[in-house]
Amino acid sequence: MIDYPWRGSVAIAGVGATRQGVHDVDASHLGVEAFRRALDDAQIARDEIDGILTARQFDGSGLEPKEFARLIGVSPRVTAALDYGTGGYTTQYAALLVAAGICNVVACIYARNPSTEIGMISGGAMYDGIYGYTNAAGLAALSWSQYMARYSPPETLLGLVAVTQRHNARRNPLAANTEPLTMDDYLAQPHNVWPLRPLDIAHITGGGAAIIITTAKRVRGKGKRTVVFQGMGRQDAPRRLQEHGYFACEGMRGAAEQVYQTAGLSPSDIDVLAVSDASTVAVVQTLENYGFCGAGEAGDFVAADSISADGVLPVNTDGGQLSGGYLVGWLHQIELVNQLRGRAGERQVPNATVGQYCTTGGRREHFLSTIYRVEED
Amino acid sequence: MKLRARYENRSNERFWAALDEDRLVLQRCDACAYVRHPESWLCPNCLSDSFAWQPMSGHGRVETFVWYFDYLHTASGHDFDVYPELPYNVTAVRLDEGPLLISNTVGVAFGELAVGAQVEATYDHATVDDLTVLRFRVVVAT
Repeated sequence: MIDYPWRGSVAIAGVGATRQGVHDVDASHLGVEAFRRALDDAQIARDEIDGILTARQFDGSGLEPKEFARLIGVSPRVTAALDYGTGGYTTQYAALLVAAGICNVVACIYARNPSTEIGMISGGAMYDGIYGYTNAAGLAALSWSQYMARYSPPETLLGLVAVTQRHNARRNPLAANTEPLTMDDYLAQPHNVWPLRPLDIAHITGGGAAIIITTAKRVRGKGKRTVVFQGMGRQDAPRRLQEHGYFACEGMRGAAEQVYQTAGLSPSDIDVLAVSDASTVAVVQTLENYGFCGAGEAGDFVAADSISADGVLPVNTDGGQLSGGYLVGWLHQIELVNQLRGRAGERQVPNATVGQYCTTGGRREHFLSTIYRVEED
Repeated sequence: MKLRARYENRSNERFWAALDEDRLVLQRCDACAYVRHPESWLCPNCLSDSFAWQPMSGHGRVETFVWYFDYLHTASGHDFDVYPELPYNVTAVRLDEGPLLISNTVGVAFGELAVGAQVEATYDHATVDDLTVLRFRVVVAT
C-alpha cells in the first residue's frame, strides 16, 4: 500500500458553524462567527494561522480570502479562494499544504447570506435560456427522468431521502428547515420541474462554516479525539454534456475508486456518509456510483431503511442541504467531524469511526470525496 | 425580439446560418471524423485543427427530458430570453452522429414524451425575429 504523506498525518483541529437560515448581517459576520467557534474548538492561537482558504460560487458568493485575513488580523503565508463550487476542495487543498509543510495551521472559511446577496434555489446557473433550460434543478430532473426510464424506481424513493433528512434536521439545533415532513406531504406537493418537486431541491440558506486544519501531531494530546484525513479521491469531467454517463453522474466512480484506494478501505467500512445534496437525486447517484449499492438498486437499499440515523449507513445526519442548510458542501464535513468525535448529541451514530464525504461541483464538472477517520483514544 | 447578437459569434456563425436554411451542421474532424459539439477549433479526440461543417442527418433519440411547471427564473436570478408556455419540456437529444444536444421537443403534451423516442430536427423561425431555433419532433414514439 502506498504511503501517502497526508494520510493519517493531517487532522481537523476544530470546526465551527452558525445557525443556518435567514440572517440580517452580511456574509463576513457569519464567517467570523463560524471562525471564532472553530478557533475555540481548535484551542489554537490566532497568530499560529498561516493559511486562509475560502471558496467562491459561480454566483459570486463566498468570502475574499485576503479581505477576510485583514478582517481577522492575520498575515498568512498562503491565501486562496477555490472556485469548484463546493467545500471539499478547500479542505483537501489545506490538507495538502499542511502535509507538504508549506503551512502549519490553515483556516478554511465559507459564508454567504442570500437575503443580503442573491436569492435563489439550488445552483442558479442559466444553462441555455433559448430552450428554457435553467437551474441546477433542471439538470437534476434530467438525471432522474433518465433513471426512471432505466430502472422504474418507486415514486417514494426520492421522498424517503427528503423525509429522512428532514427527520435528521429536527435533531440539529443549527438546522434551517425543521417543520415535520411526511411522505404524504412529499407526494402531495406538485412538481416544479417534473419529475422533481420543490422538496427534492436544496434551497439556499445563509450561514457560515469554518474548519481549521493542521498536523495530527499538533491536535493529539488535547483531550479530544483526533480526526484525520484517511482518503482523498477526485475526478473532473470538463466536457460536461459530452462526457460519458453525464446525467448518471458516472464521474463519481473515478473519485470513488481513488478515495477507497488511498484510504485502504471499501464502502462497507463507512460508518456515516455525508453527501452534498443539491437535490435528493444526488443521494441516489452517490449510493450507486460509490458502490454502497449496485446501479438501479437504490430503491431497495433506501426502502430497507438503510440511510436513516439508525440504519446500516446513516446519510446526512444533520439534515443535509435539503433540510439542514445549503452551504455548498461545507456543513457535511463539520457534521462528520462531530460524529467521529462522538459529540453529535441526539444525532450521534453509535461507535462511528470512519466517515465519508462525497460532493459534486460546478455543472457536474467536479467530483470529490474525502474519508475521515478518528484515531483511537 | 432580436437575439442573434447574443448567440452568434465568429466560431459558430456557420451553425446559425445553416439553421436559417433548415439545415443542421456540426463540426466534423477531417483527420478522425469525430463529430463535435459545442464548436471548437480543436478536435478533442485527436487534436487536429482541421475540420469541416458537416450536414447532420437531423435524426436522434431522446436521451432524457423534463417538464418545467415553473420557470424558476426568479429563483435562478436570471431572466429568460424567451418565456415558453408552461408546462414546457427540455429534451436532451443524442444525435445519430454522436453529440448530445439540449433542445425542446415540439408537438407533444405532458405525458406524451418518452426516453428512447426517435426524433428529428425541426426549424423554428417564428419564436425569435432574427434567429432560427433548433428544436425536435417525434418521428417514432417508443
